[in-house]
Amino acid sequence: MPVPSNPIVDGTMKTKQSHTTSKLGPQQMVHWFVASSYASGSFTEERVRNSVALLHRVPAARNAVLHRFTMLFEDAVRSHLDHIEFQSTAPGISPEIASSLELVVNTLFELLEQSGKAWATILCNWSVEALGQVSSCSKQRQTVPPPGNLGHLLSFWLNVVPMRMLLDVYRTCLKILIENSPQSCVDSLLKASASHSPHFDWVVADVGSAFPDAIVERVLYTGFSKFCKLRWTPMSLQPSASITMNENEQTILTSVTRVLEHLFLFHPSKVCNKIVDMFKTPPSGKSSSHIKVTLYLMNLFSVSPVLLPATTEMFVDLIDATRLNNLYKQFQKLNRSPEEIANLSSLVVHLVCKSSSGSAKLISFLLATTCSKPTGKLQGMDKGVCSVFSKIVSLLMDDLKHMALKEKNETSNVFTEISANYEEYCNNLLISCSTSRKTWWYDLLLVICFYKSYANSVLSYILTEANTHSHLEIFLQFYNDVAPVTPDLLDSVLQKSFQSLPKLSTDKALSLLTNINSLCAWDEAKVPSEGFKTRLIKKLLLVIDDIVLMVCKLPIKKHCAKLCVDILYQIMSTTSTCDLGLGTRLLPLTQSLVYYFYYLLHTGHKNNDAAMQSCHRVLVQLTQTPETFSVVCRLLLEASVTQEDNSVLFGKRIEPELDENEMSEIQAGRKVNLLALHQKAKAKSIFKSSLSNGFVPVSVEAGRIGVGPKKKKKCPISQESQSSNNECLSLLLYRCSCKTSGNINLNSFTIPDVRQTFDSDKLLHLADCIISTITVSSPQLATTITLDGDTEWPSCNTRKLTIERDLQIFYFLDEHPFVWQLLFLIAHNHCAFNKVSSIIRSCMSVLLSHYESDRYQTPLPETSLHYQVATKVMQLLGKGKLVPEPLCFVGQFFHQISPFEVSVLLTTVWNFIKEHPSDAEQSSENQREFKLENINLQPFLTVVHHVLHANITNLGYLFSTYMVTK
Amino acid sequence: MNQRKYTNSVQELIRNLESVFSNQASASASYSKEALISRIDDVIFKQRGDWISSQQALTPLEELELIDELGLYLQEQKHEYVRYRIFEALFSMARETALEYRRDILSKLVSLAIVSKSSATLECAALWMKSTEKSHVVHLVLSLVTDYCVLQQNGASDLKACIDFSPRFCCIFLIALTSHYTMMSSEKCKEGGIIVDDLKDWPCLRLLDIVQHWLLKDPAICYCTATQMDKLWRTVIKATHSLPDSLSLTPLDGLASWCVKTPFAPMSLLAPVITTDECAENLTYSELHSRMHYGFLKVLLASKPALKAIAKGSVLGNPDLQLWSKQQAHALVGDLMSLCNHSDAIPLSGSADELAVDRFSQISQIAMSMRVLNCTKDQFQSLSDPLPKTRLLEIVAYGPNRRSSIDETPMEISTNY
Repeated sequence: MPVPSNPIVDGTMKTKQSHTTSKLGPQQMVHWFVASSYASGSFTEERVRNSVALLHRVPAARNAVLHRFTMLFEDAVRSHLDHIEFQSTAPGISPEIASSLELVVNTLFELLEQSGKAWATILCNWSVEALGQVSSCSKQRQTVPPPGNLGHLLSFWLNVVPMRMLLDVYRTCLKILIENSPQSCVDSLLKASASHSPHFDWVVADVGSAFPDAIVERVLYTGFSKFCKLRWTPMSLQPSASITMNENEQTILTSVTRVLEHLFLFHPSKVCNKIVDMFKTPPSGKSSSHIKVTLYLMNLFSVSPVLLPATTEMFVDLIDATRLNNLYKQFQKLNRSPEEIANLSSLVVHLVCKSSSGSAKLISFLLATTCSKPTGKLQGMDKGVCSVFSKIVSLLMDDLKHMALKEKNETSNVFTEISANYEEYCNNLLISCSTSRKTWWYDLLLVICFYKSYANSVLSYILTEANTHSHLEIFLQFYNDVAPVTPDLLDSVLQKSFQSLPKLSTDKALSLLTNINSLCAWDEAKVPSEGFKTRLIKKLLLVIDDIVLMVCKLPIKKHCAKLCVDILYQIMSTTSTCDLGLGTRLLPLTQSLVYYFYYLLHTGHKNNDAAMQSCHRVLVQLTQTPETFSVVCRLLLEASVTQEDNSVLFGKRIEPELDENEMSEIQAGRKVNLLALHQKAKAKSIFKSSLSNGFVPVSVEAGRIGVGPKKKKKCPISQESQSSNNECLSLLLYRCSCKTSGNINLNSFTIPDVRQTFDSDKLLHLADCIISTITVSSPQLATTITLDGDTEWPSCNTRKLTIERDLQIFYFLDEHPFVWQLLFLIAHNHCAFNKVSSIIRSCMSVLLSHYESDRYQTPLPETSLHYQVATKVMQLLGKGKLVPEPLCFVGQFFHQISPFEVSVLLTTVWNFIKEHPSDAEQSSENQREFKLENINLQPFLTVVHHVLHANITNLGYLFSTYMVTK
Repeated sequence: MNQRKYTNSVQELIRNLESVFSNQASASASYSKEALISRIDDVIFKQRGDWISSQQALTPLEELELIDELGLYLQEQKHEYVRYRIFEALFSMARETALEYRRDILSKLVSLAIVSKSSATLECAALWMKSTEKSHVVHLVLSLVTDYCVLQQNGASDLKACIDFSPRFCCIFLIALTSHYTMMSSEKCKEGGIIVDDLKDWPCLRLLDIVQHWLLKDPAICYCTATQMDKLWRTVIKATHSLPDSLSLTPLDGLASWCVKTPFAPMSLLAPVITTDECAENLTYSELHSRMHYGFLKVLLASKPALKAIAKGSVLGNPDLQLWSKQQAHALVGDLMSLCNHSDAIPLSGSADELAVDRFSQISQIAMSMRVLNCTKDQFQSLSDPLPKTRLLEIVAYGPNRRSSIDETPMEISTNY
């Protein structure tokens, strides 16, 4: 604290009390004032009164007096703060100072009242500077809240009386200025804000709330006019009045921004609207004002991270072709040099990089401007504008790329914003026809990919959306660009794709799978993809479980399943079994494929359908080794019998055959009159067959006497599809059983039915599978196989004991015709055939019983089931080398001889097999050679000769066939 | 304390300057003139040369001390030449350094001089104004106008009093005023959505009051630059004569145009009233103008001594100097034509056009008869020909006998006249 140092001055002052000061001349008043200012730091009411008098009398002393007042306020504030901090020891504002303050403020208000317009400017500058100075001085006081907490700071200062007074003066001045000459009212505010921020910000906030519109507008416009003067007035002509020497563009922009940002906290909409209004209606009607405003605002935004995001969207909405054209024209007038355009471009780029909310919109807008034929509000845009924007966009892309690579792990708003819209960009990239625009979209997506973990999303999206070959080319190119900076890209892309697959709509899922599939089958010769295909398939292995799962996800995504199967094929065909990990994967894989196969059958697919073909293809691919073949076979076959709905496919009869009357009767719950039924049946049979005259037996089901006749059952599937299904399954197994020799041509339906075609090991497995299939199909059949499952043939009469079980096998074969096909297949390997001979034995046993008991003389018709089975059995026995030639040919004339004769022949064959069993030890590789076994066929052929004799008229020509030449 | 240190250094520097200027022969002084002057900015104004760190180094209190000190010194310095040289050394606008700041200090110094009636300072200021570029002078004048006519309630009386102790300052002040306030623009302009009159070309009411007070109190004031041309003035003015944009010698041209153009004052100026010192009644803008017009006519009548001085060649050694040249009159006619609403028609009685043309006629009449305006009858006729015709103008231009076009105007107007 300054101490009174000059007693003489003090003395003179005391003698010249208030009554004398008014009589002093101006010069003496000045001397007196100077002396008293130096004399002592403390203020007395007297001195203040004299200062006020000086203010009234000598204009030249105005600044000094006002400065003195500032000190007074500062002093008062200091005392006040002292009082708050050290309650007891500091007295606070003394009554003298309080009355002095009042005197000063009253004087100032008086002046404002008298000639407000003139004084307002001066007092406005003074009061705002004083506010700033006092705020700055008190910044280190403990009691003063930190500048960060603006609301707190504001309420604190408003409770300090001297500050309150100052603020009142300032507000009054501001009010007068806003009413009278709004141009310059915020100059001082800006200046003070620049030099005393952030401790001064509360003032800005306060007056901003008091006059939001005016302050926002004036701050903006003042900044603008200074900006214009600095930028577009030649140095020599710069008017010195409005711009002080230490102001430059940067300081102006910073102070404007600071104020606006504060106001933005409380009046966001007002600030934004004013900014937009300024853009809409630029100040002063000069031709180039529009571009100037635009440049000004852009510079403003470049230093303000707050205002830019808030207004971005508003501006984007506002800009249209006319505005752009206009701006461009003005800009051309204003700036000639290419550097200026370069600067502008980099500014724009900078802004875009800085913007956050709305930046996506902004970027989309920028890209829209580069379109050669803009539509919508950009219609009619100048070519020059277009080219400028093209430059900007290319710069922007470069910058964004750099940023993205640099700030890989930082969060930047612009990236978050654009990343959210990657789907739109992808769509644009794929749809866009113009090459240049395609490049922009492409670049933009690259940026997104460079930034963080969006690469997989983007790529997977493109993969999903791609429709054409060229889209896939884009995908490949994109992949090649991004892969170097993103580790394990393909991996994550595929994972992402397959994760999202269940959520996608059917169409999308389809297209995704189609694309993956076509990438797998990519013709590298046409479009080089640097080994992409190999990599892709390698990576696909990692998601193979997902693919397999998709195959099972029938019938929700039935179309996808086919594609998945195709992809599986692609994978399998190029990957070694070892890589496939079949050890753990084989079972689920096979299960789903089998499931899919039966699904196809259920949905009526035929052999030559594409889906069926691909299914075949993949299964064939899978059954390359006998081990896998065995698994596949087992699952395939077991599925065909254990599941009732599957076995129906091949002709299993489950539905009772009923005519209408019966239906109605059963429904009515009436008991059936057997006699009536008998008569009915008789009446029917009269017309049907002339053979059955007299009593026609009606078969009655055991335990159901009185319920009605035994119901015949039928298969719900049409005969045609039954045969197609059987065909399909057997063809599949034929194909699978083929020797693995690289490519399988699925298009050739004919597989040469010779032994060399088939893999004998596989046939062995197949035989096992058939046995086990029959075993699992029902307990009765299981016993047939297990109890009577030895390969030795007993005496044919003993088989009568097992006739019931044999019958079941017989009907099983009837209901599953494909088994016949498989038996024919197995017959190629006599060892394998030996395994299944028990099935043949059962059939023969049934046939024997049947033909034996038939008492008709006429041969059974060729259509009868037993005849057909009998011929098949004979063919099988011949093919399977159980019966040698020519004995095995007897089946050829079964239709021409009587049933008994058939039974005689069958017995002969049976006996042959019984007496000449196949050697179980023999290797399956070699065929059984009857010649080597030295068999005496004569006794067996004699029976044949007898039968031929009996029917010599019909069968004479066959005689030579059954002559044995020794 | 600081106070002593600063004032001491100021005083010391001024003493050194004084010794250099008062006795140039004795070069024994330790400082050369140039070195001293170069120290002025540093010591007195505390302005460093560089622009970046340049900030106002003087506190407002120091400023006040400085101008007080300077005022006292100039008052005490009896040697007129030394006084002006020191004044010039401090405030010469030819020196670029700290120019604006020095100009501001000068404004304050003159302002203080006015209120403390320091004729020495004002005389120096008058010569400075005459010999400096117009823009700087106008800045000074406007700053004074703000101080005394705008901010201070009773400031006008201080300015009015200047005529008693420095008529030359008043004269230069008038010249500067009339050259700044051209009274030409009266168009409306839009400011912040409110349409206001553009008043920057028009003097305010108080200023007008001061001017009319000066003219009426001492009509010779307008010629004192010519009549009181002493050796110092002649030397200084001759040295700066080539300055491209300096003030004219007398305010005659400006005052004439003020008188003629007043009727076209914008509406917002006309309404307020002012109470002057001389008469208790409230005067409006146009009433003040009438007084000023009257005063100006008296000024023209008092032109004899000035014309004599010129004829003697004591004013800048140029006997052909025109107080109000034909070109100036011509320019005034041009301005008048552009201001008149209907320059080709006969103006309505009582209209602004008529009043303006009449005033022009009166001024021309007296000026021609006093030989202030050197112009023959014929020349004047051609000069005034494009103006709207009033009776008075006809009389002035063609004499009372010519049958004027006014006679052909409708009956009631001619009878009114």
